[in-house]
Amino acid sequence: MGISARGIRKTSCINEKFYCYFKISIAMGQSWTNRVHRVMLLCVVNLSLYVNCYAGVDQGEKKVTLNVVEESCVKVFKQIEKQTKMSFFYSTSDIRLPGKVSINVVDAALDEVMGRILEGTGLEWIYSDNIITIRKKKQLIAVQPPAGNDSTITSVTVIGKVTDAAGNPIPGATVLVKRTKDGATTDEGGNFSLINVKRNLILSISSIGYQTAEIPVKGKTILVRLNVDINKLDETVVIAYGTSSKRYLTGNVAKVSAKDIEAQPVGDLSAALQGRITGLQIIQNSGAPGRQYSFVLRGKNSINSGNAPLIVIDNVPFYDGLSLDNSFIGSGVNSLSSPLSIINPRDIESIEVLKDADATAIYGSRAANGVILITTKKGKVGKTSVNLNYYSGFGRVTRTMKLLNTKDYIAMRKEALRNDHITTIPDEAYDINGTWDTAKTTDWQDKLFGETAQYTDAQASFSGGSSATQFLIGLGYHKETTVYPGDFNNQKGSLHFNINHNPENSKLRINLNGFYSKEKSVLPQRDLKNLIRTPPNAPDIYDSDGNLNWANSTWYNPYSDMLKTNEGNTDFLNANLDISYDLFPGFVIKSTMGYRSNRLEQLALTPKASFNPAEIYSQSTSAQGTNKNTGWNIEPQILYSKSWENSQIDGLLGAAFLQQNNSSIAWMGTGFSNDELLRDLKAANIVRLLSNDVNMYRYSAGFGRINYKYKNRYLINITGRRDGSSRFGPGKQFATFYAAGIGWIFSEERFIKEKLNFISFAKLRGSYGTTGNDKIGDYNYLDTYSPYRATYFGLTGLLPIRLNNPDYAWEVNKKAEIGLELGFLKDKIYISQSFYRNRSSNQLLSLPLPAITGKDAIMANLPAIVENTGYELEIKTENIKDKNFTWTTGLNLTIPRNKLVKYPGIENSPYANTYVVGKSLFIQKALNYDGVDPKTGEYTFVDVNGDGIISYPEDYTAPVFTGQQYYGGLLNELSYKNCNVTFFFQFVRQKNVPDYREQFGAPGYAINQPTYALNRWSAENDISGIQRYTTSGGSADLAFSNMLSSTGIFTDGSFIRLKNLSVSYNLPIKKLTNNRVQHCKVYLNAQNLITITSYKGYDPETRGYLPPLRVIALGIQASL
Amino acid sequence: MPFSQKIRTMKKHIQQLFLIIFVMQVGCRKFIDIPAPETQIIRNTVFDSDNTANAAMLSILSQLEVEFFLNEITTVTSLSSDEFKNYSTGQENIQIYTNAILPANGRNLGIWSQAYSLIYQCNAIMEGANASKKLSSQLKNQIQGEAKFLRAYLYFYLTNLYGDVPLVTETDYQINKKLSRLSSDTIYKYIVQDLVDARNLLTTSYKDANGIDDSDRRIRPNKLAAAALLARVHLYTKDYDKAETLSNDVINSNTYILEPDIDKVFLIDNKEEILQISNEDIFNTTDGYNFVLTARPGAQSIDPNFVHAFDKNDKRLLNWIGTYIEGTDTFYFPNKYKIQYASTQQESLSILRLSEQYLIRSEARIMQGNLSGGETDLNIVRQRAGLPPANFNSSAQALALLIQERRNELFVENGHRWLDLKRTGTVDDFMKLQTPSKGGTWKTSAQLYPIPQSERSKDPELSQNPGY
Repeated sequence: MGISARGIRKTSCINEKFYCYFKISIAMGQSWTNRVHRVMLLCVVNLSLYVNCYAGVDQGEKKVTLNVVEESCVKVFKQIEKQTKMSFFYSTSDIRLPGKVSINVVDAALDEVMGRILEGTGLEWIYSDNIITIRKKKQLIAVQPPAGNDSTITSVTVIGKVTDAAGNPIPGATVLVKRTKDGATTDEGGNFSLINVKRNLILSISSIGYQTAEIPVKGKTILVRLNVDINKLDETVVIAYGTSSKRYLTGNVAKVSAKDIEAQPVGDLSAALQGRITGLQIIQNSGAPGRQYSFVLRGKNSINSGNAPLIVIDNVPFYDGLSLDNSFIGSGVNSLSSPLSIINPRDIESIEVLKDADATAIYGSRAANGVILITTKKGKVGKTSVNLNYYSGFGRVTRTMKLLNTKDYIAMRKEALRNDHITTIPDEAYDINGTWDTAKTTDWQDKLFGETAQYTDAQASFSGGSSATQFLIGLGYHKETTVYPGDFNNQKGSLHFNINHNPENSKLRINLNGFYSKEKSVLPQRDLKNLIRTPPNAPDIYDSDGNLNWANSTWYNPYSDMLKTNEGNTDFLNANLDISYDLFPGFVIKSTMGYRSNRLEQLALTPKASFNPAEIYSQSTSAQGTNKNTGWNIEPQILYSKSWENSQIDGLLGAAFLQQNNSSIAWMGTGFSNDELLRDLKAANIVRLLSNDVNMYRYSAGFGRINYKYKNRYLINITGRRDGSSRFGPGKQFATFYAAGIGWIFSEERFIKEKLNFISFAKLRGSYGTTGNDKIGDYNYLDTYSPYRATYFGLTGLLPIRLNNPDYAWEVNKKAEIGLELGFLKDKIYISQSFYRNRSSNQLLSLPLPAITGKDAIMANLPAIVENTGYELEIKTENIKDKNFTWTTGLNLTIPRNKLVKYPGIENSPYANTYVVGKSLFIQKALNYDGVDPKTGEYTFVDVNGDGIISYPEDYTAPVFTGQQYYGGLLNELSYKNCNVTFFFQFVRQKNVPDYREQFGAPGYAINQPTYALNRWSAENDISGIQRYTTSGGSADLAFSNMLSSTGIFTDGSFIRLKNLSVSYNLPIKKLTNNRVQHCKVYLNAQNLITITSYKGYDPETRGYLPPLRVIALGIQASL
Repeated sequence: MPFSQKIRTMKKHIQQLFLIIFVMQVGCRKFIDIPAPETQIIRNTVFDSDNTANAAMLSILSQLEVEFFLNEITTVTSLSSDEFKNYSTGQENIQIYTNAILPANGRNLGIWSQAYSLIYQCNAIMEGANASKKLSSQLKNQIQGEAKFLRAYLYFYLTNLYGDVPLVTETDYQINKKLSRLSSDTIYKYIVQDLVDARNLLTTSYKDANGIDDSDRRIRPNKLAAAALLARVHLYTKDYDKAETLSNDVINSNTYILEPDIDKVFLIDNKEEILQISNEDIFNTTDGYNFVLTARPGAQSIDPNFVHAFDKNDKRLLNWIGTYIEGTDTFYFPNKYKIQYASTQQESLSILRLSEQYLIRSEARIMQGNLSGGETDLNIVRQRAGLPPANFNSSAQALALLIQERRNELFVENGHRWLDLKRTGTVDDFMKLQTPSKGGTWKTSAQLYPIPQSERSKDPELSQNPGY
């Protein structure tokens, strides 16, 4: 059917969801016959007029060279007229031209020059033949000069072309004759044609992301240039298997764009997302690089199974977090590595978080905890541009504590002995029995994490292409060192590429996208946090020869940990190929094919040199392991799109096939003759296999979606999916999930438009549906044995792996949501509110079992229902916006509530003493703390059942809520001329967090304490909040141990953090470099700058681990 | 293109669509049927062949040592009694040492859960072997006998450490997860039954790696091992005649002789051994690895007072207790196992050995009034230790001498000392004096370890021992 495939439709609406994928619309008449005839006819018209149309198209690309400083606009226009042989046309009574203009360009496109001259003036321009018309924006554009003087003809065939301000064609734009509702959409080349259009009728031309233009029909050819619409509501939002815009979404999708990510000097994407998305709670577990962050989206749905969201990178599902855990090698600091750490933040175009059923149900079984879609940058049309970025910075821990000095420490130790009635100082109390110098003080905090971490980051990208083929190549390097002494660091290198081929008038479109990155980290084997408890008068770190000092085996030298290293090498490849083909009008077939490979090699080296030489039996060890996780997915789809009279329907039907393979092997060598040979297992005395696992996971699905829009204000979206997963036993493999979402844009209704026109946008939306969860590990339904690591009698033994339950089935998560989105004063104020309720039933989890069953857990469905409800608020305001100064503010707030709604038989379950029906899952049943006994000086607790002793579980009756009450962020962005400042505060309200005592232990032992411990009970009738010192197991020890699980341990862990401050300045360098440098910016980015909290301990977020680092970085970015 | 043809094309397209959907549906089903895992064997298959069923048994024996279960029993009970002095600043260790274990103590939980994990595996062997029609009767008897022996051995320690404990006899977690504790008497009856069965199932000869051929190594239980353990059990339950008969069977089997050279008692090929557990991981024995001192003790060593009570000519003092001297400080450590670390197997951890059988028979005879018989047995053990014979005057004096001999012969070995103190009823009086010297206060309730707290939170049917 030739080009008529992109023919005419009678009435068209904005096809925002699919146009960029299909770029197609089908002709639609009263009958098939009619339609075919019209298509055939137009086919001819179109062809014949193309030539005509193209002849007058490229005015915008005419080259202009200008070099003016503070010149009047009129004079500049004169120069342009001279060079382009075009004339300006404008009405001095209607518009005000800008005052003085400074511009310096060589061979720049006319469009670009015009853009710069009219920037921020509220004016726009269009070309018609050789005339450049300047008009106010959003007004009727460009009156076409009469062509051929045939003004008597009342009806003409109009052809035209729609382009963006740079002259690139806009396909899929809607051209509508306002009165008759006849219309067309533009084809790949941005061309359209309309027959029998009466003169003087007005054409409305619109496309998502652009301002709508209205033009009266005066002649036969029309060229329309649309300006980019700045309205955030119309920005493209990536959704499951497609795109949409905030305006027309029926579901809840949050977006973080590249700009927000790039302002943060972080190596890990996870840190860049913290506090920025409502409903997404990200907790940093440690300040060491590469450490895992915990992600919880809209609460804890599962009592103890995976609560992490599904992550999809460029249509390729990321590994599901179960398998790439490098703990197989032992407890390295990075033993739980962050999954997103491997992705270069600078390669990211946007991150979309899909939250409710409507947005997620199409991912079916894996979407119970929400979905995070990561989209990488794509090539853009234009001449090849080079983008360079470099920053360098430093980081230090955000918080330290004041610990006891030697004098107070010794006093504490002696008092502890007195309290325990120990009269002779024990032999092993080296700190006070004279073995160690009691006058010496070492600040172990400073010695162990007092260094400055260095950050270096360099990026380069090349992008460009024609309208048919675009490409992007990005290179990145990032290095950060640690605050530990010693040569520890984390380095990443990455290569990212994208090729998009989408030739004009072709049915085939191809997009290839991939990135490869490599991460190498060298870290201590464990977090050094606990070693800061080393007594302050401990011996010197090094002896006079510069060797580790063991002081006659009287202590553990903390610096020996610096020699015990854990090296991680990660390779990550993610590639995706999208091919789509226009099958016949309205139908596109498409397939996504993805491949992903994560490979992790880990090496934990414990050299002989890290041991006390007196411990002659200590053996050097070298643990080495490899974990390989690969996955591929093929997802064929059929897309359908059709619109008529006020209505538009988009359909999607697809299937997904996914396979994931995981294999891991780990070895340990012991007893090396020489520390130099630790990497070579051949040099080990004994080598043994620690683990060897091979897993396979397959998953298949059929899914569909129908999206219907009526009058651009009534929206309905229905999705369904049938899933099968190899993680379930025979007969339990398949399950069906569905969702429906509706939306009503009531700002489009007459009563708002006429009576309440300060409301520029108002949408009420709701959704309901089901999703599932199969994050349960492979083969769990099988009853199997696997080889035991050691032989017996020379033979390898077999060991049962698990308790077996072949009957577990899918868990169901029902999600409901209501949202209200309001825009006021031309969307200068935008408020979005959502209420959600997720109910997770038939909970599939690893059910903890008492050890008497032989194992500590079994995979099972639990009859419990967990409910997560919440309120999410987002406010964005444009406080000031004028030519030089803009100030915008964004606030987000999430108030989550979690509740165990139902759990029949909880009293006879493993959770009888853990959870309470009707309360949150974030509770801890604690003893009721009753203060320090003024007589004994020990912590006391309420003996609830009055049996005279504090016993479990009877006296553990106080349910303490340990979760977050609310959290959110506040973003302010100010720009003045070339200067831009943004600052972002993250806030978390959590009233009950265990204080420092959980990591310091009972005061009085040979471990140092924070100065808080000085406020202890000391004499009878002393009223104090800290119990007496003790150094031998006994009632005080028991009291302290009880304290850790009582109400007394909890303290307010709320905090406000200036998470990010970014200051940048755009250097006015374009002129100076004769256009060679398009854009150059210097910036200062700071992370975790200030933390405001009353928390007693290190950091309320990382608590027992290394606090987050305060990072300050200086950088420069340039585009050539 | 005529219109009718157009419609036909459309119809064809729609048909094609449905065909694609149908094929996908079928494809989905086939696609997710994945092959069996490459590194695992389905349970039913394990008991389809002698090789794999035997391998399942071997791993249980292996875990006893490799997972530090036997060493943990020895260490923890020795800290509880008067044998060890604690040097660790770890609060859990201090709790054990000062006889003030808290229900949340992790080492206590470790012993409990490891014992039950191994019991589960024994039960799985029993069920698998019973159901299998493909195993040879020889192997079936061997592994069932071994499983019963081990199950009895594990329950013996559980009931001695915790008193009443849940009795798990099958693998169904639905039943097991809500079991409550049964009386120690019931547990003992079950232990006796298991050992009687094991005696019937096992052969007199020791079996090789394959469970069928005979072997010189004594690292798989045989009929006599079952008898030896049963003798101990009867002694504990005060069935002295049965204890005597069974120890008699073992002693008179002509299979074992007391090693005249005291330094060879714990070597792999010693003639005194009734059952050893081999460690083929990276040590010879976990005891040797953990106890031998080459530096100041960081965890534990033998209490000097315990050492000083030995006769200074006792070869067990000279050969089984090591010293480490640093400056003016002398530290003592158990040196029954001399090898701390070596890749070649020279020593193996002893579970049952002949000298204990002499001591059992001696005690059984004393308790039945046969003082001279008891004296003879006791002196056999004393003689090997290079000590002059003892003379029994009265039952009470004989018993005191016997307990002292057990202390010196079986110190820091499989918890004998702690269990002896408890079963003879002397523990209260003795520990009242002992515990304060360790920095604690003795409470009668400390005789039994607490049921681990996390276990009680997972199985609400589990009651706690008094005093916790």
